[in-house]
Amino acid sequence: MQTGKDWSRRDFVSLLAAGSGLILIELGALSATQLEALAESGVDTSEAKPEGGAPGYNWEQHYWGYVVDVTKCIGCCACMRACRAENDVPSDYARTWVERYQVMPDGHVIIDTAKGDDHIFDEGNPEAVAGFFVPKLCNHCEATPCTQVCPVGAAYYTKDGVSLVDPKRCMGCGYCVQACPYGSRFMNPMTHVADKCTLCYHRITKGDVPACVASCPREARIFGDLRDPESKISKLLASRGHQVLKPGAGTKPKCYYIGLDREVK
Amino acid sequence: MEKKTLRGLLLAGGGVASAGFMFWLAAGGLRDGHLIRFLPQIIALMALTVVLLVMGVFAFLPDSSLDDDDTHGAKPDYKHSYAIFGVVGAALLLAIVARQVVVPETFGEFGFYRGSAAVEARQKDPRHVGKKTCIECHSDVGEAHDKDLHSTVQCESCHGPGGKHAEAGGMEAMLKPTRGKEFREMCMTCHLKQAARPRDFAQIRWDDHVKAVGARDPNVDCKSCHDPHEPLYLDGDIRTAREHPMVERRFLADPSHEDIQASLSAGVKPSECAFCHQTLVTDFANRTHSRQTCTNCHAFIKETETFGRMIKNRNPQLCLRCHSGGAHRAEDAAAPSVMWPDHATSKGVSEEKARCIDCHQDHIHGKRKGPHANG
Amino acid sequence: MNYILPNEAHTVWTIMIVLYPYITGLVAGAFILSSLYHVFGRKELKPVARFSLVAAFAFLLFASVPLLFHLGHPERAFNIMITPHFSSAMAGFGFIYSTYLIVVALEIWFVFRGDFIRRARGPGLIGLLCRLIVLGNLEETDGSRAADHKISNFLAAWGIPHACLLHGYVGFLFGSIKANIWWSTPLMFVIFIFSAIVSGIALLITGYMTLVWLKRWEVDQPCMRTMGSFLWGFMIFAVGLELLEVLFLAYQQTEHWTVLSKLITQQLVVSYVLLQLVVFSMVPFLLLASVVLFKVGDKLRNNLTWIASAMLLVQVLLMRWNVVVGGQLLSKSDHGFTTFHLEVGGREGLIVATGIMLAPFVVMWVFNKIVPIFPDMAAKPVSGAAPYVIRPPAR
Repeated sequence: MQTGKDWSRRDFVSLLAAGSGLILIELGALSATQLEALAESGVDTSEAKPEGGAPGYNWEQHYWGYVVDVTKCIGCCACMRACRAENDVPSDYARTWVERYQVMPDGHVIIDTAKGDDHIFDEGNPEAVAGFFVPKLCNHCEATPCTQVCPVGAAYYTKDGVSLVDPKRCMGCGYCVQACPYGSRFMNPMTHVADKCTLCYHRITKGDVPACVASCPREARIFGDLRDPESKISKLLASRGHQVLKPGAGTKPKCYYIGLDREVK
Repeated sequence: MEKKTLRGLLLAGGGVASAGFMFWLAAGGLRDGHLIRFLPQIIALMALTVVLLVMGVFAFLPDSSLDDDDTHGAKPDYKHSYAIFGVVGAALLLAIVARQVVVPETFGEFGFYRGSAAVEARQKDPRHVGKKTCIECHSDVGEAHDKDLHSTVQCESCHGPGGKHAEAGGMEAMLKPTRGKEFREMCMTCHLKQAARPRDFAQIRWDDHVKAVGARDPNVDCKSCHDPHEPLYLDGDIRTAREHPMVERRFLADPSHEDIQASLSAGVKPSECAFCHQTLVTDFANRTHSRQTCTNCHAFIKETETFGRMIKNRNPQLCLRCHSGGAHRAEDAAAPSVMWPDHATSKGVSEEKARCIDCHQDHIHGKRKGPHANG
Repeated sequence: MNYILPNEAHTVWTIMIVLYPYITGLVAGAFILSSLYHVFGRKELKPVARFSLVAAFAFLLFASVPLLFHLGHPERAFNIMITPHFSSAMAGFGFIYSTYLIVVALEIWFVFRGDFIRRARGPGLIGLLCRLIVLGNLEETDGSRAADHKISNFLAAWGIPHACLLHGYVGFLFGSIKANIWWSTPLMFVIFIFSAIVSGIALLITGYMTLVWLKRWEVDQPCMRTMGSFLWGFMIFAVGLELLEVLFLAYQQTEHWTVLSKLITQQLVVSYVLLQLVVFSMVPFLLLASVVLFKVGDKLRNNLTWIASAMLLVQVLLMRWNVVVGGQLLSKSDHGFTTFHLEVGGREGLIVATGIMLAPFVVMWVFNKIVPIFPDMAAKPVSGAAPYVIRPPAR
């Protein structure tokens, strides 16, 4: 293409046409082989269930939900300690936490969370006249803003309704942490990937409940299958009025609250 | 039509065609949920579309007039540019091929994520095993635990996650709360009195509690009176037990507590007041108020003026519940009624200082003796 | 009462994330100024057209570096091109950045081809490097030059929306986050683009004036006048939009206004209100207004424009700071603020940031050693002697 030979625009166009033709043929071939491969492997997404991990578990049959009864919580923080022990949650971060709201005589509210790794609330403000505790965790939203903003497909939402992070794919950009309206996510300082409540996926897929639900002595945290109308959680939601956090955000959380005060944002 | 225009139209047309093919692939991919598998093709087609459209548009562009001084009006000659565009094109193709090689196999199987991630997320072993596993070996504790108010408190909340211990035994994996102040701190994580805790939940301030139970050592740990597995030692109904937390079982074996020993042999249940206060109860049966139950006066639910620790406050309002002339007098007409405060002031006692029990002790428990007498 | 959620004790995005939009902003702005010459025919910008292109390229080379320093797993950075999740604005980064790098590199190849060929004929490593760059084809004719101009003009035209996309998507990235009330606004995309153009032009003015001062060149007055006017115009639009955004927040006063007003009047009162809006916006506005609207002497005009540009460079950096850091100060509890700790050493610290900002200047200096960025600059006449002109040898 250098000195000597005289390449006209026409030659170039022919070359381009030929090249495009080759490319199109190659792409067509690639598409065909992939379609073939799909058909052969028998992966039919309507009935797919991943092998391994939890034998006998079919994620198409469950849709996990959570209820928090604010009127029952005593702020013992057994849930925080259980979660920390179960999931190696690093210090200074929390996958679930309990907020204390103390109402002062003039009506204003003071909010705090128990400090330290053992999470024990002190006796609080001596002038407080009333109050309540609000446990919080990842709401496992149906319209997750976190999975929407993950640039690499590391944040995902399983078929059984659990929002998870793929720790092998996450590159640690932190965008999902910014996008969560509830502050449920954090960057793990040890693994340098995004971390959050997993609803103890390794427990619930084996028929158990999350560690926080198991440890609560007051049944302030309730877990169950929203797909099963006979489950405790379905019956509870059908019989009691319930709220969600930040309904205006449009995230459709699956963590429902009973007895939520308007001060709780 | 000018050759230039025809060329331009052909190229632009080619661009539109490749765009069409790209959208067809994308639509099919989206429908089947396999879009991610077609990503390299879609990107390649996007690049091809761009190139063809660009060249098509280029064919229509007039030659630039901005830098005429060094072209001297010559027509553009592009052959030196083919090589660099070829390099760029080759690099793009290489990138697309490389992508196909490195993308994880299970990516896109169930959604825009690596399918095996969902599998891996389930494979961790649980660390907490739950009470059902603990009682496989510790059934005796489990039985007692089931009967009392701590039955909803998980073993692992106080003793730590039991996964390792359940498999291998040994104490290193478990937490065992220590004595004294540290033990008390553990109980206080739930039972420390604060405004935010529900009113119906048992909660105390330590100093007040020590004074109320008359403990001599302010550093005593909760275990001295409350077995952590059976804190109230419930054998009867919850209201009776709540009024007066029961002592630990080991007190039952203490020979110095004669009343308790006598009750045990008489078959009296530990939840009955007579179990510890045998003498008092026997004595009470001979007094005017013998038909009243203990709980009519000793209601330990709220610490307020009229209810709560009656012995401490001796508030006349308690007695006046039955003995006043008002609408709330007892239905039992045998209870004599008085006018208050006239009944006190007519005897020369001011209303503030009047205490029924100062004069009417004999009607209640009489002069008490014994180790718990407080005058 | 100041309450923050437990996970908000540590902020996720650091000065690296402040730097990234700043750099891509400089790139977009510089490129657009170059395109004003190549595409829109503003001949008076010819003296800085090549400089702006090289500046855009130099900064573009380092645009992804702050991100690599920030990532928890930089070795997985290519995931963004292997499995880009297009519902995420950030996923656009991989393709937009790499294709734009190719576009700018190609434009430099075509604009500087003549200079590369001249150097390729020379000896040594630089000669070899230039021969590699031109792919061994040292032929240059009037026709090839005409083709070079046409292609580079096309690339310049193509590059304008591409540059807007490169920088605008960052604005969209912030503005689309409903969880952060300081960020969430539809205007963010536009504000970022226009403030990027401001920073780019300001960079070129500051760079040009610094070089003129160092090398004792003669200032091209029509060029400075034009750049100053464009800077003033774009700056009015950019600052106007920024003010509009906060005006709407203050006027509508939704439930978040309680905490937003505290953010503006307490945490950000110095960096946002005092510095970004008052000092570093009003003063450049007035300085540029005086040179654009009134007849001033050349020396005064150049000095005022130069000062205004330097201040606007700071203003745009402050704007990125107030957006990135300011937004993270807000707690999602709506009841308090967290704190931001600026690291000095460390992977995401001030020292690394300074290094990243200085590196493009080193690249430009190296580039200039290979091919001249300013071939036509004349030194100021000294005591009546004819100006010494460096011009490429005629063919």
